[in-house]
Amino acid sequence: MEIEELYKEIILDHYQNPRNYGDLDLSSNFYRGAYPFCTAEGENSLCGDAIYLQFFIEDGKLIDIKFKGEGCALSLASASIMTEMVKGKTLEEIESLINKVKLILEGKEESSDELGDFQALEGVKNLPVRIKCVLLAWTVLEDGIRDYKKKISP
Amino acid sequence: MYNVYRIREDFPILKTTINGKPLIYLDNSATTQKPAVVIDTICEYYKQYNANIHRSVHYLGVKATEIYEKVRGDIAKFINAPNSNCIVFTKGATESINLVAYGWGRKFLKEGDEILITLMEHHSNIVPWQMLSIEKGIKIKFVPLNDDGSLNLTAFKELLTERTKLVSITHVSNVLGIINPIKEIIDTSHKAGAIVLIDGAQSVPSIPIDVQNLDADFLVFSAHKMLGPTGIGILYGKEDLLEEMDPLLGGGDMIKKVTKDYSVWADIPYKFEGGTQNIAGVIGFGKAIEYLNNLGLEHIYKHEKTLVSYTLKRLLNIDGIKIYGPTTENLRLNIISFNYKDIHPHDVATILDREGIAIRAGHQCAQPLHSYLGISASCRASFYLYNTEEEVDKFIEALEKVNMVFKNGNRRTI
Repeated sequence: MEIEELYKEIILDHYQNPRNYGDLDLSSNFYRGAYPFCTAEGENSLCGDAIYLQFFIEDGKLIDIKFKGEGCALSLASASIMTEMVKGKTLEEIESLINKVKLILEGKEESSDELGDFQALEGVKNLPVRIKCVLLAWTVLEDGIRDYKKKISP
Repeated sequence: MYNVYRIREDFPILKTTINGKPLIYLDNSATTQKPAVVIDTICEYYKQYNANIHRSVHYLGVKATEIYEKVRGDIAKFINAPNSNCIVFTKGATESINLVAYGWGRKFLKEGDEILITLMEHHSNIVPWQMLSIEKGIKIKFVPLNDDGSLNLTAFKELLTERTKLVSITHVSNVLGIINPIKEIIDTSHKAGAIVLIDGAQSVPSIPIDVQNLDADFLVFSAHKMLGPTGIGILYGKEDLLEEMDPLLGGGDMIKKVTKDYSVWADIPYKFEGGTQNIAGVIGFGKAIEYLNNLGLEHIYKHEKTLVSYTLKRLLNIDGIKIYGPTTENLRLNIISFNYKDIHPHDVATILDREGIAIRAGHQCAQPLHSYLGISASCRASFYLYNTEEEVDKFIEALEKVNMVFKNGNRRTI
């Protein structure tokens, strides 16, 4: 594998111009107290990568999400790609997407067009030591959704 | 005459290729490579005289014991310890520090006592004291650093009080490469009534150390950072301190006598070596010490200094390189930590790896230091006796490749 196959244009673009980066605007009329506001964070203790997510859920759908964090190009690009992919999806759809992402990185499943920009990250499965970086945002969201579910039906 | 090309012949791994490129190993502060003589010595033990030590009267047992104990003596000489009873085998510098924390600290420290460490310590010289502080209510204080990363000695003297019972400090920072003035620190601490533990994990492999001249109370180091196998470390302690310390592991080989009601511990150093030891590891370490002695630590030290000075010069010419710690080589041993533009260290390390170059990337087991520096991670290149200027050149070239992959771009700041 050539290194450029890992650091593809699209990855560098997400890394250098991250989508949905920052904080959700809690003051806007649209969000004011109307929906449960969720946060989730996690880090990769080995390398110090950290991802912080904020999202709103309405009627079982994730209607908006922002991320912040620090880390390598792979972890931040993955987070950026993830926020684009999950926005507007139902929690069930997101959970199955997270599972799919895991299977792809474990080499158990091939990626497909429905994975959009994430396909560019598939190459990391050949670099086991960096899989954790790509997975971080996804597992943080998984935890966040789990916490949300606990909160609404304890 | 120090011939690095001749020396390289002794290290089988240096002939391997990584991703089709010759290996350039610049992660020596994590662990060093092993010369064939060390590997062969370990094989020889298992093939020719494998037996348990201190127990058997048969030929193999006697031979294994003799060699194991000879290594203890060789190590005592290597750091000029007064005798081999001061040398305890552990599984690494980390265990050595834990042995002092629990064998000495748990027994003698009381609530309100203070331990002085520094902001540049490796986690292994922070966490054991934190664990002990939970148990004993002792206080840990950190000596701050100057702007260039060196130890703030004025602050050190102010923090040193009659409550300070132990000063535990690294000789050489595993991130900044800074060589601390340990002689001065030991003298000052002793005057204040504190004993001193020196973490020599990074220094003993390259700097000739004389524990008697330094008057160090404890010195810890690891075999694997100085050509030896993993799983072997040393605790040097002054005899009276070791005598009054409690063992950590009870079991076979650490006793004089066992009855149903009580046991009598063995003399030092054996009371600290309960259970069957890493015999092959000790014997391999003995060979590593012999190898280092043959080369001469003073020559190794000089070689590393030349390499570091050359690397600093080349790195400082690259736009966007930020070096942590002093940029003159006089304060520094064989370690350079840096960041390149705002490219994450893991991305740098992955791209270098494709070029066959091994560096460390991450927090390097020194998170408090990294947060003091205001970063979460850094890249680290560290050298040892077999590295060459040609390897440094390739490393510098590969950094250019990193820049190319990232297309000279910085992250959009948000």
